[in-house]
Amino acid sequence: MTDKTQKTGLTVDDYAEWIITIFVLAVMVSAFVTALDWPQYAAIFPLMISGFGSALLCLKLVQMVLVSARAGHVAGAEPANSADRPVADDEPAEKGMDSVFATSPRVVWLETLLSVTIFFALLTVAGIEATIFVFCLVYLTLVARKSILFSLIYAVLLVGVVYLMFVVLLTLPLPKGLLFS
Amino acid sequence: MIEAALSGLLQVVSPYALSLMLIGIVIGFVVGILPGLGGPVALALMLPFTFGMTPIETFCFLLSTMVVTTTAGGITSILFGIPGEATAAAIVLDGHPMAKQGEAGRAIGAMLMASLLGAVIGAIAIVLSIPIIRPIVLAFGPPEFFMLTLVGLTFISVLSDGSMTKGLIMATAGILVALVGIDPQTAVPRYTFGLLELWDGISIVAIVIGLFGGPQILELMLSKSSIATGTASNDVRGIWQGFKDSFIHWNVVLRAGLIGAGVGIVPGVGGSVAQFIAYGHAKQTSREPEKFGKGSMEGLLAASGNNNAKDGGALIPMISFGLPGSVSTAIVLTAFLIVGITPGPAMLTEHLDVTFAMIWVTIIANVIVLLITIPLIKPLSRVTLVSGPLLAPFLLVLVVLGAYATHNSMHDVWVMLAAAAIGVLCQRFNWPKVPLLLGVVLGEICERYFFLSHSLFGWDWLSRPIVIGFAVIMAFIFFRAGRQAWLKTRQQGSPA
Repeated sequence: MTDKTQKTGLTVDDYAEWIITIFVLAVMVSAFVTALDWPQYAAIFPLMISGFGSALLCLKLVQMVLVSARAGHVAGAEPANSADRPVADDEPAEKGMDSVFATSPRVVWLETLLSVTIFFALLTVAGIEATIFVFCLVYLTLVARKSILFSLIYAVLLVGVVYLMFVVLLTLPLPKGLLFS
Repeated sequence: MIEAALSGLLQVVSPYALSLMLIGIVIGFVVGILPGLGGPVALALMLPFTFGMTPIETFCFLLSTMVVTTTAGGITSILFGIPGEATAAAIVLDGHPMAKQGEAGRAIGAMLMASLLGAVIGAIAIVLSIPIIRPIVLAFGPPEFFMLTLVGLTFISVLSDGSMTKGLIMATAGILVALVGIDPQTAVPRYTFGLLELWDGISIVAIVIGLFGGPQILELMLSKSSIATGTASNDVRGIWQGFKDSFIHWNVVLRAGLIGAGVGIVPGVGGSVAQFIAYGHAKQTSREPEKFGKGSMEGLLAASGNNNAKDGGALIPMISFGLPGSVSTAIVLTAFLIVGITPGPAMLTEHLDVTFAMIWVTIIANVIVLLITIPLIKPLSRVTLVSGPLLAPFLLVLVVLGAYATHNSMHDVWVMLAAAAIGVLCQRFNWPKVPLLLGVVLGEICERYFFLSHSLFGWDWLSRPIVIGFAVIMAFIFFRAGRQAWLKTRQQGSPA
């Protein structure tokens, strides 16, 4: 994921840096413009903050342009050794456990995101108890490759523990879902 | 004063008071370990049971719960990377990497001992402050509190790895998030986009759980491996090593405790901020700052050492002025009224034994929780060896219920989910999450004190001596962080 693209010499991280910076700048500017319509006392602090944030993001964009220009210059002079390019202040530091996000195959990403989507869709529709039961059964059987019996026991135990802790002991309500609310 | 201290101690160690304390500790431990359910929830649930109790019994019951929820929240932070309490978020930064390296036992041991030492430091701070607290607290007005929140935000420069600019941007974004909702001064809805759910603002608890817990769960689901990979050394020696670590790095614990007690005094700021100030300070003064965020013992001790000390600090304005420093202390304040005691000068004269009893409870409750947890550390540490896909459904349920329990609303679950997505992006593309959280926590307080300062003094508040003092501290922090970044860039740029 962090390999440089052949045409531009930019990495996925570089592209992400540009996209995130520009997106946050757009949010800050929108926040500033929105605050202009409010009464003075409601607007003064948001204007200060969004104005300051916008200025910081412009500064960051300038830093990024300078770093890109410098990196391009070094790459032009020494194309064979791009690892020697100067390290900018804002460049991503050494990756540790975050590399899981960067290196996981697309299929695993899709499987995981689909699982999470199904969990929250079920939660919205059927509430937490049914979601726990169905999700544990399906996820543990299909993704974790556990036996149906194991998944069933896990699901029943988790529903029981949640009910005991939240409803019986703490007397707190649980998410009901659209079907039961 | 010694007589009052002894009287307070004797009343606290009576069998009935001790058994109430034990009940409070067990409830606090269970609630603290569950993300989202914090001290306020536990205290609110227990408050009705205090009717008919004596003042000492009431405070044994409530305060033991309050301090134990803070400590227990650190266990979830270390094991799963999901803060059990908003005040235990900084423990995730180094505690969870230690668990991943197979040192969960050592991390929990160090966290517990540092919390106990922090509680002692907080207690000593209360005792020492009794004669001098009134003039000090009265010297602080809205401008000073405003500057103090800015000092807290300034620490982002040392918290954000390698980039002060990114840290400041994230903090600014966090403050903007905190401004969502009805403006308390003019009742104008701000950044609510016509959604009624946003009128009350955005839940900090949901953001904490999402920002820190979301990426951890996704990582477990993607990697399909256990939290700790390789051979885990979660044996009893690790626990003792953790205890020893907190004494080896006693100066880190002491400074974190003093910061916790100091910041805890400021109404509304409390532990959510104190932990990061202590963490930032430890990083700035450490000989190995590069290890912070990757399993640094100093980082873990700084985050743990302040979390009970701040409870001591929060008790100071409550006892002296009836001014609660946090939601938890506000509920404890209600208990004052139930038992018929008025906080204020009388607490330092007529009811001094009750004040000392409260101090003793914060220490004794931590000693008991330490003793209770020692046999639990080993089985708890083994959780880090359970495979990711087995843990994932349990953790998903935990974060959903944690977010939901804040206001019993699905809206907070969606906020948590959005925060989780932001947390994943931050982690993947190296944008710092902590300044964002700090901005969310401090945004509302920062605006309130700014508004009060401006309303009361115009712009003259900028020339107040303590305000100038804080500005100098901020300038020094920026200068030092900037210099360190410049030196680092120069070193990396120069040929080997």
